[in-house]
Parts: sequence; C-alpha cells; structure tokens
Amino acid sequence: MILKRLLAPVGLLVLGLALSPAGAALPRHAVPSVRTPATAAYVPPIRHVFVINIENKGYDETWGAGSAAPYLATRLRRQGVLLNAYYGTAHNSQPNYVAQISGQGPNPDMQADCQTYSTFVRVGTVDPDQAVGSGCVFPADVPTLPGQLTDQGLTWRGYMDDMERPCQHPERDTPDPTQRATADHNYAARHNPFVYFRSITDHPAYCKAHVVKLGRLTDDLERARTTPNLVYITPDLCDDGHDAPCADGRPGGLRSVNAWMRKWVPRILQAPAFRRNGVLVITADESDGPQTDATACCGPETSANSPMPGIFGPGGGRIGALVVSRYVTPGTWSTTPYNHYSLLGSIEEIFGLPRLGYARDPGVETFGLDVYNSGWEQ
Amino acid sequence: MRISRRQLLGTASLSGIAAATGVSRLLPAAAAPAPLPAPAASGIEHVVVVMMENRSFDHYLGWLPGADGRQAGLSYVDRRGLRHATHRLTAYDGCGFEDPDHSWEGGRIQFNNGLLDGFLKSGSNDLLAVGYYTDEDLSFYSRAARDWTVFDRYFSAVMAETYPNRFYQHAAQTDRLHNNTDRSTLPTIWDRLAEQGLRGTYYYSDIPFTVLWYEKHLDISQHFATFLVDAAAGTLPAVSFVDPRFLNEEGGTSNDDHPLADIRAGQAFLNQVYDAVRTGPGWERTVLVINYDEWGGFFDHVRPRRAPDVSKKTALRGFRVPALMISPLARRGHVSHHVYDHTSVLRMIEWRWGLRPLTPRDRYARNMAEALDLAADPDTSSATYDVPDLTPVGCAPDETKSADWAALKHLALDLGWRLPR
Repeated sequence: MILKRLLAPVGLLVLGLALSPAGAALPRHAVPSVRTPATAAYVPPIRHVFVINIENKGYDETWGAGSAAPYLATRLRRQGVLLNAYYGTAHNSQPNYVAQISGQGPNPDMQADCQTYSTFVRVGTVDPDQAVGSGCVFPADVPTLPGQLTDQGLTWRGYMDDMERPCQHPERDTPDPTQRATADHNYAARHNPFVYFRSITDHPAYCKAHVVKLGRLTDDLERARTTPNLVYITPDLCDDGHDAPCADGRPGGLRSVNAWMRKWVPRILQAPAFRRNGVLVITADESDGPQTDATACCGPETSANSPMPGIFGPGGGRIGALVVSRYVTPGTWSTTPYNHYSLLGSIEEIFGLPRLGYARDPGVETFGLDVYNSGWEQ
Repeated sequence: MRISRRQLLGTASLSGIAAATGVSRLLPAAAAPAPLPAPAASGIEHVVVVMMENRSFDHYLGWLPGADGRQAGLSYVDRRGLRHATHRLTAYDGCGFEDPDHSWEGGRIQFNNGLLDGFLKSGSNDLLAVGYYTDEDLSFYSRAARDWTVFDRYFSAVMAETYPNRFYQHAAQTDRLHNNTDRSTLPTIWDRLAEQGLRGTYYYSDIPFTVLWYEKHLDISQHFATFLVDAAAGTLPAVSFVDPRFLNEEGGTSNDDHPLADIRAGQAFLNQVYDAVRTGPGWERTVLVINYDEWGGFFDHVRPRRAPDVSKKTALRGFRVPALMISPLARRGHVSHHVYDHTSVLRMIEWRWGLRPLTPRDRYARNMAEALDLAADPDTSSATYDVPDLTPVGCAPDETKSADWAALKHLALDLGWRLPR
C-alpha cells in the first residue's frame, strides 16, 4: 500500500457522522456477557450473517452475461449489491475457507487441499497472528471467528450439505476419504473450515452442536431466536459447482449451483432473522484455478507460510460476491477491492469483535457504506 | 448524402427536449441558435479534435466565470461515513493518490440514481476524487477558457471508462463496457470520410487508439510529429483527431491529464496544439475542439441524462467533462449551456461534409457547429499564452499499478505498427 499524501487535512473532515446506530440497536436476544465494543458508524445493526460459498468460479463465469446460474446471476443479483472486485485469497480451495473464519494464510499442505488430514506442526507465530508451520489442523490456541463468537455469547453454526454425521472429519494424520465424491457421498471436509481447528474438533460435543447437516437449517430458520448469528453454509461437491458432471449423474457446475440456490436461498430470504436484521453473502472460494487467475486485489502478497498464496500468483483470483440485505439497495454495485479476509473483518465488525489474522492487514478493507448502501444511516 | 430537412427538424426537436429537461431549469433560457448556413458555405474546412483524459468539469473548469461550475463548498460522504469537503489540490500531479474509479459500475455508484453523491464510495477513491484545480493551476486554460468558447453541458458520451468513450468519439457507439484489446469492427467516422473521398487523419503521440481496429486504420494513423508538420504546411486533412501521450499514466509521466499525470504537461501539450493550429496557414478555416474522454472519477454536480442509443446499457451519458472550441469562427469569451457529448463533434463533422450518421447517437446529437458564430467574418486574431514546457518527473515506482495502454502498445507492436520512439 502506498501512503496517501495528506492534503490540508485540517478542515477536510467537516462532519464525522456522530450517529452510532449499531451501538444503539444492540439486539435484546444477544445478551453479550462481555461488553461488546461499539460498532463503527458505517456498519448497520446486523445480527445475522449468512455466508454461502460456491466452488471454483471466476467472476465472469458466475456473474457475467450468459451465466449458467441465471437465478443467482440475474434474479438474486437484482436484489443485492454485487461486489465486482472481490477476490479469493489462495489456491486451491481449503485455505480460502480457512481465511474466511480465521484470517490464517495458506501453507503448501493447505494449498494442496489437505490430501492428508494432517496435524499442523507449529514452529512459531508471526504477525498478524499467523501460525508458522506445516500441516492442516491448527493447534487449539489459534483463534477463530467461531471462538470469538462463542466467547461473546453469540451463536454460530456450519451447515454442511450431504455430511453424514455432525462434525464429520477424517482421523487426524490419515488420508482424507472425502477428497472425491461418490455416487452416494458428496461432502468434502476440505470445504468445511471448522474441522481444521482443534479449538473446535477437540471438543466433540461443541463441534457436533455447531457443525451440522444442512437439513438442520430448515428448523433453525423458523424463528429468529433459533437462527445463529453466523450461518455458514457449504453446499456439497455437486451443489457447489465443484464437480461437473457429478458422481451421481447430475449435471453439476453452475447448473447444479443454480438449482441448489433456487431451493435454499428463498428459505433464507423469508426467514424472520434475515428479514429483521440479516445479511447474506454469496461468493466462491476461488477462481477456476491457479493457472486461470491467481491475482489478488489487496492485502498480503505473500503469507507467513507461502511465498505464492495463489500458487501461480498472489491470490485466488477475481470471483465477486453478492450481498443481500435490507441494508443494501437492490441492483447496485460496489467496486471497492475486497477478499476473504475482508469478509472475515466485516463479520467481526458487525459483531464488534477484533479482527483476526490477515483481516488486520493494512491493505484489507472491510465493507463500508459502499456495500451497506441503502441509506439506512441517514 | 445530404441530411434531409425532416431529419434536421427531428434533431432540433430532440435537442429542444434535452434543453427543456436539462438546462433551462437551472439556467436562464438560452437564446435559440441562429440558423446554420449551408455547410459548404460555413467557412469550416478543417476540424481538429484533441481528446484528453479523465477530468470532470467542476474539478477542472469549475472556476470559470459565467459557467455552471462548483468547486469549494460541496462535500461527499466516504465509505466510512465521514463527510469530506471539496478542496483545492496542492500538487500538480496525483502521486501518492489512487486513480479515481471511472468504470461502468463505479460511475453508477457515483451517480447513485441521480443523487450524484457517491464520488467517495467507489473503488479505492480517496480525497483526490473530490479535489479541484483553479485557473492559477492551469496556465493554458486560465487564458483559453476565458478567450474562447467553453461548454458547461458537455458530457462524456457514456458512463464508462476510456475505451468505451473513445469508441464513441470514433464510432458513435461502443462494442465494450470495459477496456480490452479485442478487435473492433465498428464502422467509424474514418469510414464515412473515405466513402466521400475525404481525408481524415488520426495523429497519436505514443499509443494509437485506432489499433483496436487492428490493421484497418493503419493508413489514416500518423505520429503527432506529422501533425505539427501538416499544421505548419497547411496540409491538415478535413478531419484530424489528435491524441496526447498515454503511456505510464499510473507513473505520472503522460501528458494526457489522466491521473496521476502532472497537469502542467497536459497544459503544455494543449498549448503546443493550439499554437500549431493558430499559426498554420489553415487557421482561418479551422475549428479546434478540445474535449476529455470521461470524467475520471472526479466529482461533478450536474446530472447526466440518457441519450438515444443502440443499447440501454450505454444510453446513460457520463459526467460532464471540460470542452472548448477554438477557431476564428468561434464566439470569444462565450459559455455554451446546451447539452453536447462526443457524438456532437461527429454530428458537426457529418453536417459539414454531408456524411451519413453512424448510429442514433450522432444522428440525434446537437450539432456543435451551432455554437460557432458563422454569420460573422472570421476573426483570425489569437493570443499567445505563456505555458511553460515541462518534462514530468513522475511518481515513485509502484509495481501494484498498471494501465491498459501498455497492453495496447504490445498489441500494436505485435501487429507490426511502427510507433513513435
């Protein structure tokens, strides 16, 4: 980042908005046991964040004219703000998910999608909060967004499509049997970031209560008080567009993404929690692949464990993100550069939490009034 | 082909609507333009169009007396909810700032459904986007804008970035919403001139925009050095487009006014073109137009409207840009308040030489010749301006910055163009 030259700074800030609507509107049901830091004036009083990732789709493919997912690219897009400079942070898949919930950068094992569900062997820690080492399953003291939420008395759940049992993950230091889909099984552990943190998996009851099958979402959406503050959804290898065709014979790719979105997104949009004060973010983990697009928008060009987070470049490529909320004007754009670390930082700002890992990088912006652009703050 | 009386009437009534909805609410009713003479008797034998880069009207000419400009006293809220006042820029270059967003999407954020309040909410826009220059900063415009005709309702043709707007200048439409090096097949004003056996030349300083038609317009594309020779020799063609140096805008060494350029270099370039035209033997019969491709992401307070267009996606004009008309036939010290855009320049060319319109845009555009005083005898007097030449030092290298012109340069070299050294 370049240092901006300061031009006559005195007198430019004629009116810092004195409102703090987020602070004033802390929801009654959140009952934070610890005092929540005041939320910034540009963050609306959101209490429920819904995140959905599809797999391996560059911006033009998903959002461009002629997208094979018309419900997503046209109908749903008309209801939200499209972030056209939103980037993945790594190649391949797994480190992108990990970035979204922890701010940890990739290492080569993660970039190879953790073929072995290996223990992360830490040799040190460097700023910002980066565990230095190899392997995939982070030590218990590596902080995560779920941990922050739990500590704050806030709730979260990961909803995993086609997972057979809650908190499903391979045995530590054994090959991951979910690397390939079968006709019966489309769940992939590598798209479920929660199982890569021992702070979660070392506590089976906690893990099983929080990392659940997708079907659970239907019940949880029924009432706002049963809907977690963070709803993190990973469709399976067919529904997220990863496979095409799918192991079970479905078409896969964006066609299957479209079918899945048509089924699940309306349920979210109709849920009381979403309608009252929710925000839905739909993005992809990464572009089509490291050789197609390994660019980065912003943030760290290297990570503590990898000189090339995108294998052939600094990032996971341009993917875009759609944000839908009552705090967003339908059919609008944001052109500000963002990535998965921005998403993490933005969720943390919503809940008044300190930013973790690379979400603290000075080149990482969080969502502002360009995203929350409904005029709610006026 | 001649334009029929019916077409002219149709044009006039459309312009009338534009005036009624756009200008007259804000300004005293402008006098109806005098009827135009027969084109061949207009006294116009040469039109020279210089298209600069990326400045809005308020940002660059908002200080001009008699024009609808606003500079100090406006304010804009940024992405963080902080309100910032417009402010006079203290440096001639933009080094250390971000190039303000001026994409198709970013323009719509700034436009915000006509509220025009998003200039600090798009891209990575910083306080450069709400900064302005005054006449004290602009050694050419401080004189030229007062001496000649300035347009305060001249809009960039399309709310989009450079290539789309430059396509409008050459072709009255664009085949893309973003800059890229795909081959264009759009019919151009150069085709129309050739159909009538007329000469037109595209003069470029470093990168030929016409290479986007690949080899097609190689024959009418010449180096800027040739422009100076042709102007001095009185051998300018009927229509000349003249482009400044584009390369390394991001490093601040171009002379096209595109951020992060040193604006003194742009002023020196314009003065060089002005001197070449006014001291050449063809001056008496020449109309020099200076315009800007688009607003560059800089604030402006006048709402652009939609125009008749080939596509809904490109019908919305971009924000206002500076535009001047310099000629012995031009009104001196005049500000025109009528709505124009790049296709109005094409309309003037097509009117003068009886060329078919390219699209509905130029067909229905207001003819810029209406701003000339064609009833009076040409006034060939012209002042010499004291504009120092300048070799910009540029900004500290920043490898995160890149521009599209480098890609176009490589395309030209790959296609065998011989570029100026």
